Amino acid sequence: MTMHAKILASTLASCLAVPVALTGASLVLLAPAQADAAVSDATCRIHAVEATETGDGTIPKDLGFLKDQLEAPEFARYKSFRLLESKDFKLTLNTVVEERFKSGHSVKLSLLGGDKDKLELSTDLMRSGTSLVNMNFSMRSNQIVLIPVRRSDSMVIFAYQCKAG
Amino acid sequence: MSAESNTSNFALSEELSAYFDGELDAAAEAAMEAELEANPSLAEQLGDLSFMREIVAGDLELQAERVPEARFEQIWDSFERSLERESRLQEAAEAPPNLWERLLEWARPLRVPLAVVGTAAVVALVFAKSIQAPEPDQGPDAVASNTPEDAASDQPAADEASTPESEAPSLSTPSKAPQMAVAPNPDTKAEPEMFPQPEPGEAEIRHISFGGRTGTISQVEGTRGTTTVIWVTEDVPAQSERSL
Repeated sequence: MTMHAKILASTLASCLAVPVALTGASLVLLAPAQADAAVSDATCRIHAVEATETGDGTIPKDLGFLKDQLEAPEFARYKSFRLLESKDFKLTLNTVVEERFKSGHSVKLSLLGGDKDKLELSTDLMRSGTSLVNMNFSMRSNQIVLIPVRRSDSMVIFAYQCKAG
Repeated sequence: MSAESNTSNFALSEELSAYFDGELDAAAEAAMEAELEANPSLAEQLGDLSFMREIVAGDLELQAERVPEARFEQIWDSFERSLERESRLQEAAEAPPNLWERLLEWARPLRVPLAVVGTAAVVALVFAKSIQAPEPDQGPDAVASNTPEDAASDQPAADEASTPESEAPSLSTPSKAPQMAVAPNPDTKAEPEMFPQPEPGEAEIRHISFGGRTGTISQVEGTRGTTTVIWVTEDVPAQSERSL
């Protein structure tokens, strides 16, 4: 076999391998997209953050994921933030999960539907058995929704973050 | 007529036929010619033989003349087609290999490199898939949760003590007992690596009611985007309800 033939064969092999790799990659990348059907379960994490009007305004490291929101002008009145706790909710379709927080609040959360990227949820934030806010809403996966509950000079912020599965 | 005479006549007739066909050697031929001059009956037999040949040859030539010219051409065309078909079959049998056969022939010694390239492609796919999949153990953007220090220092909200419905265990034993009482389901413990850095975005509120309290819906503009905020005030006893 001549050198010319070897080069030609190697080139041919490369030309064949690239489409095969691209086709395989396309299948791999597109396969999850086909699974974006109606979601049947989801996981939500609700963070309870205490905000007070005294402090130097420093946002602690464990609240770094909320820094962008807590530095907004709407929260400028509050100078101190502290993560009280975080609770995870394992949700299945149309099943209410309730968790109680140390702040005295309790949260009911249920999954109403949606897909992998957007979840339909229902929540009831209560204190002492009384509903403070009850709402049905939709949010994208890993998006944040904040529910600050103000009481005199302090506030407890409930940050909802959910994802499918 | 005696048997000896019959045998001699038969032998002479055979020799005459051989002479007529030109099969005798020179000596026998000369002897036969001498015999023909001396034997008129034998010469007559030779004349009969000549006559018979003329009749047969003339009949064949006459039959050949009756065959039309077109028939010869058909026969010749048939010969030509047969020859061409045989020629094509011969050429096909001796044809050189086509392009694919030559490429395969070239690639045959390179089966190992081809297998290596294919394996590399598969490995690249697996690697790409592993990169695409989330890494639950090492999420750099993982959110924080209760650290041991947090658990030890977890306190109710500032006004917690003033609320009679608040949990008694959390007030009396603020170390670990409240955590167990508040979170009885081990599945609900926070797993910091589960959620990546949250993305800003507006939620769509389908329905909302502020039971016995006041509340507003707003959008907070951060540097990374807009976040939906539901403000609730517990201190105001008035009721408001709004449905979207």
